[in-house]
Amino acid sequence: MSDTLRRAAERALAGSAAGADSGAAASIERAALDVVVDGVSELVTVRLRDGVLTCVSSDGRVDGPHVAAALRWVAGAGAGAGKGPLTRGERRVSVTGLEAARAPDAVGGREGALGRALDDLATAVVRVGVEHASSAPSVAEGVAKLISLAGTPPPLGLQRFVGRLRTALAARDVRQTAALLAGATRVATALLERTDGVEAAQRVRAWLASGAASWEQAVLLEERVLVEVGRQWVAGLARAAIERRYLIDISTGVVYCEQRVRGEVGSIGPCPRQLDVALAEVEPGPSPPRIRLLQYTVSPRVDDGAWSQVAHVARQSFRELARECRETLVRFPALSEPFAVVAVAAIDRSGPPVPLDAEGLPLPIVRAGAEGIAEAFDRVVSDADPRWIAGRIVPLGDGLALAPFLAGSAEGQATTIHVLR
Amino acid sequence: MSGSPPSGPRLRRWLRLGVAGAAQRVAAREELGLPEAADDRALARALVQVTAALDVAALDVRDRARVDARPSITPPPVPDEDPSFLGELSVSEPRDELAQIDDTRTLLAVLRAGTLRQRRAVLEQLGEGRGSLRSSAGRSPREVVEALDQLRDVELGYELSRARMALGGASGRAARTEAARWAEVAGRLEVEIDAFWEGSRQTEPLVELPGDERAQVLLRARDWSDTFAAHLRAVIEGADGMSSVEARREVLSSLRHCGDARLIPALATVLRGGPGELVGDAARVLSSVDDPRVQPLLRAVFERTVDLRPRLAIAGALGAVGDHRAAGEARAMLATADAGARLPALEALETLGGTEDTEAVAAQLGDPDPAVASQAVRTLRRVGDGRALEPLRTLGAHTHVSALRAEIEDAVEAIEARLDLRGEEPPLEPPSIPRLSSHGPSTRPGPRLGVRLVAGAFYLAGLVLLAIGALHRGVTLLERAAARRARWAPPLVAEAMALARRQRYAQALAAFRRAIEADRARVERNPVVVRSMARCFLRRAEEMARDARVDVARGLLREVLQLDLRRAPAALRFELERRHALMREEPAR
Repeated sequence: MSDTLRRAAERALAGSAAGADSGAAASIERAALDVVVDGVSELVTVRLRDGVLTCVSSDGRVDGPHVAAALRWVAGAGAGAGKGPLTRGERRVSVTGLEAARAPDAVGGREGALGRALDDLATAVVRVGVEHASSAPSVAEGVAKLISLAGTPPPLGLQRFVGRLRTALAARDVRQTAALLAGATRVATALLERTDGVEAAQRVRAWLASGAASWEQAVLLEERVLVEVGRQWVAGLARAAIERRYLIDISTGVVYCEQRVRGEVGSIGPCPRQLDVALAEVEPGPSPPRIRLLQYTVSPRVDDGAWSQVAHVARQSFRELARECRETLVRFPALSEPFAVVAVAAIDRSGPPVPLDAEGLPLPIVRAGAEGIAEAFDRVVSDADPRWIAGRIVPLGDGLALAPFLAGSAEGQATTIHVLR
Repeated sequence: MSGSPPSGPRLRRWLRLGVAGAAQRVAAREELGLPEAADDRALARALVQVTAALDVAALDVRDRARVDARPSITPPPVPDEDPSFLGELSVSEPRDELAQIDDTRTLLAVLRAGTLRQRRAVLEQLGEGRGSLRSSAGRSPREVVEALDQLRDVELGYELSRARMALGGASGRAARTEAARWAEVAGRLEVEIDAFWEGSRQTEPLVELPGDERAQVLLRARDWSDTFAAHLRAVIEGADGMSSVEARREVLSSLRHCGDARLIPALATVLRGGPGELVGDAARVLSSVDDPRVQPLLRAVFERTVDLRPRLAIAGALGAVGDHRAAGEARAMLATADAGARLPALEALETLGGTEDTEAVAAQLGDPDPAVASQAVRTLRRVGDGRALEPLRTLGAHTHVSALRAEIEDAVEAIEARLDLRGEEPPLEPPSIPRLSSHGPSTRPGPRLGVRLVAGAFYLAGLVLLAIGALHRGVTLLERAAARRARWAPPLVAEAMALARRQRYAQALAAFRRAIEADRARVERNPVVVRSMARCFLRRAEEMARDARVDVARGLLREVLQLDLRRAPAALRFELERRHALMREEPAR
């Protein structure tokens, strides 16, 4: 094995002020080595955690030649193999040649560990690439580490992040993975560098707060009429682990999201339903903001007046909607999943039906996926012109698309509701 | 260090393929404007954050109409392997093709032998007054009226009621009257539903409804309001804050033939998230719905379901919508020695089975469990293979169970209709089973004239007393009439029905049983009597079940289901079968 690196480091130390350092105590927790074997270069990470040494190569192996070479080098059996243990000077040289652990930013406690775990996960995915990440041991290990640090039960935000990441990696969705990991690394920054600011605090709370702590900064909502316009189960740590109910305030048009984990007790009533809310809490954060209903009455009968109000407050401009989506995705790239009720001025039926706003701008319907929702929407549109559609706004390449949940069409003074999802 | 802004496609490429190699890392750092000393963590952070930021900045709506070009992978319909006329009927739109057919006999044969969609399409045609099922005078041919009167297919309950409403004459009037009655019941229910959600009613109204009424109302769910449908969704999902799993199962199993697409989101919730006891029933309800969301949902859930019973139920539902992926599995289950697997496997083969399964299914006709034998008959009916005629007729000639003989009659009729559509002829008939639907007179020698006159007098007097409300004295005279003239059912029937009208079900049961002993065929031939008797058994079973005497209730249901109930309303028969099936699964106490 070549000791070129070590000799170069020795020369660097000899000629620098750092070499005169008596060797202040430093804790090396992780080392990343660029190892070349037979002309093939791999990055090997060596880490001591809880007394257990883990060593994994960027080719996903834990027992290959690159790992063996790295371990020999870390053990001091490199070019100097057989000479005995490294001298103190050699050991110091060998340490400073490596990527140092985050000694300055070694934030202790759970927060620091979580921050590092998020960083590690992002790094692992970037190394192996989205194409292979869903089957890479380093990525699986990163996810498992994150979950183990998150507490029991893990916070809802973190559960949802894990669910979305697994889905994105399984689908090899590069854009979605980038957004999720961007959010994760920003939270890591906030945790590790103790970033101040309202937004950083919101971000950390959205990801990691649970129980009462997740409502600490909640705003009260009083005397409102909400209509539920969508309901779904989404992935968390398991498939269909988190239920979401999307509620629109018929006076303001703001859409809120009521969330619960499977097994928790939620508010009663079907979708759609009308809620006369005396008191609720809203937690500002990713879109749509979370709501907790405290005092309410519910009815499955949503009167035509309420539906007319829904149509009235529906988003008229798709361009404005896009601007708002960009804003929320900039602030919360991983956890924002915008939901809106959009007004439909016309339907373009030259091909698969596409809703148009008053300016003639399109918002295509999500058609991918074997759920038959798009075909069900086509059936609705073949018989009626919807006045509004409620659904998730999802990125589609560099555009936006609508995954419909509910559509409302007018028949005289009455509204016909089509429940699609 | 690169001076130009980072390129989104290049960054996405690195993110897709990874940046493990040294050269890749150098290039990525340069693209991102990072120093050479930047570690992997910094590189990863920068790569994902810059990529995400570029993607978000580019998000917008575009002037030109854009369509999601990704394929919607809803699978195409599975073509029927049957090369005959029946197989050629379009799987996706049978109504368009059926509308072109002029031959009434052919259409009625499809009504007996076709798939569920084909049979529905024929009835829809009739209900809308289209095609040759209406003469130029706007009336349906006599044979059509008779066929509709005789059809007892509970799967077609909704379409049948609408088709009958479109008829003229007494049949049409009766059907319209019945429809109005159930609309009234549904209207009252809706008031109760509003009261439930307002909090002024403490119990969920559907579960409290008598079973046969609930079956009738939910069979017509498509006709009721969106509020009614929303309430159903809440009960199915368990979002009403009240219903237990058992209560939800009652409602779900009653919805089996409703065909209401508004329930799909709630059914999807149950299929995806359970509880497990509801998955099979939810799949059966879905199989009755004609909607593009059904097949993808069933397919996805089937792949993830391991438990045998729900898995076979989902498999059967997939078969009903034209997806036969699980046919091999159902066959394998039927071939196992596991007695508990035979019934669900036979049920699945109703939609998944083909002529190659005839022998294996026919072998189940001799099963000592009447439910298995009965299901085998129904499966053979749907498979429609002429080779099943002989074993069916043989069983029909030897069984003493009226209900089984009635099912065999219907199955033979359906198979013969299918052979007709295929241009085949049935094999030479062995001695046929005595047809219970015949209206011939009894062959027993009658009593002497004097006995008849005296018994008749007591009988008429008893009826008069009952009519004026004197129950005890009326029953006494009817008993004397029955004692005078042996094996004469009418007084016992009158007594039973009088008691049943007054909700004295336990006493009515005894009288009905004696009437059956006296002259079973006469009882089973009378639709009014059969309806009252079936309802009486059901009510009494419900009473027993409420008193936690499940074994007695189960026995009552088993007893009545052995009778020929073809003249009872289909929804009532369905409720008896549904309740019996649920009770069979409960542990014996």
